[in-house]
This record gives sequence, C-alpha cells and structure tokens, in this order.
Amino acid sequence: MQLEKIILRDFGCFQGNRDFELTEGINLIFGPNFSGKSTLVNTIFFTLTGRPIVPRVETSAISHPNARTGTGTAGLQFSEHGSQYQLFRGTGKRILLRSPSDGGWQIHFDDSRARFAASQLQERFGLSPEHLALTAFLREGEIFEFLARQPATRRDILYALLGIDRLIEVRERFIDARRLAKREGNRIRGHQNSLRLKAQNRNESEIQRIEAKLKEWEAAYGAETGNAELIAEWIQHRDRLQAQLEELTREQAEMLSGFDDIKQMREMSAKIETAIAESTGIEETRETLIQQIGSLESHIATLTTVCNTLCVLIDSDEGHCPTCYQKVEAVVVQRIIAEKEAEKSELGAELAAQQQQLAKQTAELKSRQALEQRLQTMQARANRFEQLARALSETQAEIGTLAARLKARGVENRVQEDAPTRRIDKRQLKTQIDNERRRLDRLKQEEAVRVDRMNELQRVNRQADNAAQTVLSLELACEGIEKTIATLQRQILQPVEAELQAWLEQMQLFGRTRIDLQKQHLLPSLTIDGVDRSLMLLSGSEKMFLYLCFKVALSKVLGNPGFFVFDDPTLHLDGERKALMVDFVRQLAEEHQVIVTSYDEAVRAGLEGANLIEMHAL
Amino acid sequence: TPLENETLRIYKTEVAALLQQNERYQTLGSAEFDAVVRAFELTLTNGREKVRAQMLYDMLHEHRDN
Repeated sequence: MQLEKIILRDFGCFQGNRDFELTEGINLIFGPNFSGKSTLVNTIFFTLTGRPIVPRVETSAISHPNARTGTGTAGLQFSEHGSQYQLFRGTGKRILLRSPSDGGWQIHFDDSRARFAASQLQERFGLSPEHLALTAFLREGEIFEFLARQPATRRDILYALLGIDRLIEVRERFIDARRLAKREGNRIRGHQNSLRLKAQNRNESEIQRIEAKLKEWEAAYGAETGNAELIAEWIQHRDRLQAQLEELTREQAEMLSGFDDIKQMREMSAKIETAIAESTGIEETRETLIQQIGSLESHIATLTTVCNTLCVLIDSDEGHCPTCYQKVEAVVVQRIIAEKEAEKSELGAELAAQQQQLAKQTAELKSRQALEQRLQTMQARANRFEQLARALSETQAEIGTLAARLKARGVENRVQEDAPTRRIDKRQLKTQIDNERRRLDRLKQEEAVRVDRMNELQRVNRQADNAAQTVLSLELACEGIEKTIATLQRQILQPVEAELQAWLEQMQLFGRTRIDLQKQHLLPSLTIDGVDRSLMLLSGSEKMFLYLCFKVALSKVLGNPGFFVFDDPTLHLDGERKALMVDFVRQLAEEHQVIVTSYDEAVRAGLEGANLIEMHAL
Repeated sequence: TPLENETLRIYKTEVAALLQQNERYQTLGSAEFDAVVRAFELTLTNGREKVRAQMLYDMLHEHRDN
C-alpha cells in the first residue's frame, strides 16, 4: 500500500479542508511544536482503523472544535496493486471507500457500521488496528507505554497480532463445553452414587442365611415332624393292614366252617354237585304223583257220590231211578254199591301209596334244595376264601414293605404316638418356617429390585464413562489449543527474534545479543554477552532503537502494509544517535515508504532529498 | 486463510502428539481425535458466537453414543 495524500476536513487541529501530498520513499513532516505533526500521524491511523492512535480517547474528541457539523472527517488517498482508492472516515462514524472510474467515482462502500467497514478493510487490504499499531506506527511515548504495560495486556496484543485471540475464543468455547460435560458428569455421578447406595443394600447374604436356616428347619421339621408324620402314617397303615389281616383270617376261617381246609370243602362241593345231579327228575315224578293223587281222589269222590246216591235210592222206596226213571232192584243196587265200595277201597289204597310216594319225593326234593343252597353257599365261600387269600397275600406284602421302611428308620416296633403333643410342636415349627419363608420372599423381591437397580447402575456407569471420556476429550481439545498457541508463537516469533537480532547487530548498538520475545509476551528479553539485561536499565536511545528494530522485525515476519509512520523517533537522542536513526530510516526507505515527523533541524538535514511537508505553528 | 490452515495443521499435530505421548489420554482413540479436530475446525471457522458450548459437547459426546 502506497499512501499518496492525507485529506482533512475539520479534523484535529485543522479547520476547513487541508490536503498533504505524500510520495514514495521518505516523507518528512517537519515543524515546531503545536504545528499539527502528530495530528497527521493520527489522521492516517484513524482513517485506516477508526480509532484514535492515542488509546482511551473518544473519537468525537478528534474533530475540530469549530467544525460546522460538529464532526470532522479524515481521509487518505492510497494505491494498492496499481489501483487508487480514497478512504474517508468521519468522527460521526460514516465511512466511505471509493476509487476513480471513468472520470467519476466508484463507491465500494458508504456505511456507518464500524464492524462492517473493519471487515471490508481487513478483507481488501489486510488492515487490522492491532497489526498496524504494532508493526507500522510509532506514536509519541509509545515505547514507554509498551514497557510499562502489564504482561496480560502485552499478551493480548501478541495474541491479536498472531490471530491467537481466535484460538483463545475457541479454547473458551471448549472450556464452556467442558463445564457442561463436568456438570453432566456430576449429575450422572449423583445418580450413580444414589443407585450404588441402594444397590449396595445387598440381601444376598441375608437370603443365603435365611435359606440355610430354612433348610435346617425344614430338615428338622422332616426329621422331627415331617418324617414322624410319615412314620406315623406308615405305622397307622400297618396297624390298619394288620387289623384287616386279622379280619380276613377270621373270615377265611369262617368260610371253612366245618371243614379243615378249602380242599375238603371243594371235595364236599363235588359230592353235593354229584348228588344234586343224581336227584334230577324228582320234580317230574312228584308232579306225576300229584296228578295221579288228584285223579284218584277225584275218582274216589265220584264213587262215594255214586254209593251215596245208590244208598239214597234204596232208602227211598220209589223203585226207579230219579234220573232216568227206570225201575231198579234193591239187590242189584246193593251189589253195585258193594262193587263201588270195593273199587273205592282199592283206589283208596292206591291213593295212600301214591301219597306216601309223594311225601317221600317231597322230602327228597327239599333235601336236594337244601343241598343246592349249601353248594351255592360253599361255592360263594370258596370264592370269597380265594379272594381273601389274595387280599391276605397283598396285605402281608404291604405290611412287609412297611415293616422294612420302619425298620430302616429304626422304628419297626414303634407304636402310634400321642398325636396332640406332636401337633403343637409341628404347628410352632411350621409357623416359624412360614414366617421365614414370607421374609425370604420379601427379601427376594427386594433383591430383584436391587438387581434391576444394578442393571440401571451398569447403564449409568456406561453413561458416566462416556461423560468422563467426553470431559477428557474436551481437556485434550483445550490442551491441544494451548500447545498450538505455544507452537504458533514459537513458529512466528522465532523468525522475528532472528530478524531483530540481525537489525541490532547491524546497528552495532550492543555486543553479542540474544533476544527472547516469548518469555515476556513480546517484551524483548535481552541477553548481552551472556548476561541478562533488563530493558529498564537500557538508555532512552537504546530503548528507542531496540523498539523500532522490534517493529521492523515484526512487520517483516507478519507482513507490512508497505509503509512506516514514526512520530518523532529522534526524541531524547543525542547527535550521534540521531545520525544513526537517520541511517536507519534511509535503510528502511529502500524497501518501504517511511513517514517521519520531527522538529529537529539535524534530522531535516540528515534526510535531505526526502519529501518535505513543512508545518507551521497553528 | 493460510494462517487458519496452518493453525489447523499445527492443532492436528499437537493433539496427535498428546494422544500418543500423554498417558492421561491413552483411553481416547482415533474417533475422539476426529471428533476433537472436527469441533476445533467448526469453532475456528464459524467463531465463538455461532458455535455454542452445547453443540461442542454434543459433538464430542454423541459420537461415543454412536
């Protein structure tokens, strides 16, 4: 960037319109005190940055007190890459950038937004206030201010210069995020601790203890009560079976009544069956006899009636038959009666024989029926006997099994105990077992809840791990930024240190020097001939040269807009050092446009040939 | 800008060196490295005003959930 003209409209100590032409190479603004030299320096700085070059001065204070509109305007005409521009900045905030075009002006922007203008100028020309202030301008008294600045302020300047301020902002964001992550981590940890505390109330040992106790009690219940109950049941069953066995044996003996054994009974049954088989036909014979007896009795009754009728006939003297009225003789009738009586007597004898036979047959029939009944009874008893024999066999087998079981328990001869006493013990033990069982169930429910909590805790543990890892990631991000800042400083400031050292050696101000700009945030730490030197112990001229060389070295490494503006750099210098300063300016002007203010005739003489802007006291 | 590119290059180098050399970060892996660099790049490019802390937290936390 080549500055061509300074333009003032009611700005600073200048009323009305004033323009000052600038050329390439050295421009000397020369004049006595109160002639407006520093105002021109301020005009350049204010136009480019929007800030007065003197810190902590209100912008409105740099317009001329008699300005008609109450605001002043500073302007610069400059060229950049062959293009000409005019930049105007009013103390009332308005900013205008224009360039000549076809006999008129092309307005690039005309705005009152300071930030917008700053970003536009930064984008187009790479101008930033901090960069310009530190690398291109030397204002009056700046060196003493810089030396007196707090390290933190110098650090801020350095950071702005190196673009580290943006890194600091990024780091602050990461720190905010880390704060969030830690807060989230604390929340999760609180939840974790709460769950851990609840999950720590383990019931496992208590459950195991109760289960062991229950096992013991139930074993006791089994040995003392449960098995006893079973044994009692076995004994009871055995006794019942034995009673049944006795009943069966007794009944079996009854079934054999009159016989020695079942074999004898079966032989008798066979005989009875034979006898019954032999006595078949009694019913038919008896039936025939009954019919014959009936017939005989009927015949005898008829004969009796005939005899009686004939007797009546004889006794009646009528001499004829009352039925057929034939004449009959008494003798004949007497003979007939006698014949009939004889016949009746024969029939009577036959009837008696038949009746005797019938009685015999009836007795035989009854005897056979009794035999049949007996056979039936015997067969039933024989069947029952066999059933009983089987039941007896089964019962005896069952009794044998029970006896074996009881023998195994060592209670083969035990009789049934007194039930009520045992029931009380059993109930007590059962109640205890039930109570413990209920408690165990409750504990198991609690344990299930605890297991749920443990699962939840594991999930929260994972969250906590994630949160911790996130915090760690953010710490890595922050530490990475700190390392990056250190590396950036080192990478940028080391060449500055080398450049500064070269300038100082060229000036031959000190002996062998070593410069460190990083130790005190841009404030040069000097080691001269191996001995640390405090800047405060340097002379005023040494400080001035060191500071100017520092600016030039910085501008060489960080980039320079193309000009230097030094406000009275020979202040406090003696004649010899003034000459050295003039040489320094001339050397600088070989590559850059240099604008210097001075009231010193020696400087004016030393810079002969420079573009002279002569100022007069206002 | 070249300065931003240079800054990002230095940042990647420094973070990678920290991951390798610092035992404190040995539990972090390449996924965390990528997330950290992505978050840094986003904030450096867009500025602090546009990138909220919650966004950075989410960037570094959510990649773990995934």
